[in-house]
Amino acid sequence: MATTATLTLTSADIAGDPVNVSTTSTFTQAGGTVDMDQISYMKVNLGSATDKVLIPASHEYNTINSNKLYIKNLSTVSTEYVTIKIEGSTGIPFGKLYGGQWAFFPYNQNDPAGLIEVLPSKAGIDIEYIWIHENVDILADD
Amino acid sequence: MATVTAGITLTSAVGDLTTNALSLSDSTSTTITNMGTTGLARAKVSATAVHSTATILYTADDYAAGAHLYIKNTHGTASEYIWVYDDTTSGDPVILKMAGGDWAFMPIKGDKTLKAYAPSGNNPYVEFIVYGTDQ
Repeated sequence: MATTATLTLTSADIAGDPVNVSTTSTFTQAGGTVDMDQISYMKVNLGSATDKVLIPASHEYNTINSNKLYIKNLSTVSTEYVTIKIEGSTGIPFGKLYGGQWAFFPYNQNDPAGLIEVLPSKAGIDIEYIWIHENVDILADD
Repeated sequence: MATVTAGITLTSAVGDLTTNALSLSDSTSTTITNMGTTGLARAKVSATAVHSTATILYTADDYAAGAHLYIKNTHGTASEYIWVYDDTTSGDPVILKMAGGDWAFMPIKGDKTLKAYAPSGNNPYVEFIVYGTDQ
């Protein structure tokens, strides 16, 4: 029993010879061998073109825990993008995910004030994201 | 012009994350005129903190916005971390803490130098490639 992510990266013309990369990661809780055990899987409309928090800033949530994040921009327009922001209290712009593209990365918060945000290039973009995590109470208390 | 196809398959066994098994597959192709690449590289990560000797993964402005990074910590032990940081932004913020065996595939803006270090001092290896529009 395990949760895994496999990447395949192929190109026939990026170099003189074809590039083919295939690699698999088996998810474990931070630094150990225990399987990851929690998931949040959502499709959301980002609404207005302002910053949206995907993983909130919280020492408890992230700094000592293992997190894996998959994000896909569901727009079918290749020029529409969402900027992924990682760490820093206001989020540091890291990369732009254009329509149809996806990203996957581990996240183990370094800055206790840090978070992961996305900033859509226009209002109304849908994204899909999967947050696989451990030992995190993600539901706000009433 | 060159085209790169990136695919991902996420799977989870029965009872692991949810009661039922999960499986998700996705793939996207990117075609770029004037594509440049670092080439697929493997490097030892010797630095144990932010330092000029940290392993350079990408140099700012080599490629335009919309570049992509694939990176893997090839170490077989989960507790053997490699940290990737932004060497251009003030404070050298850590972007990724990659456990042994972790990989990432993500877009990068292209205007930040990215470096890696391994706090353990055990010299793990990193595998990576960056591609984007040459400028």
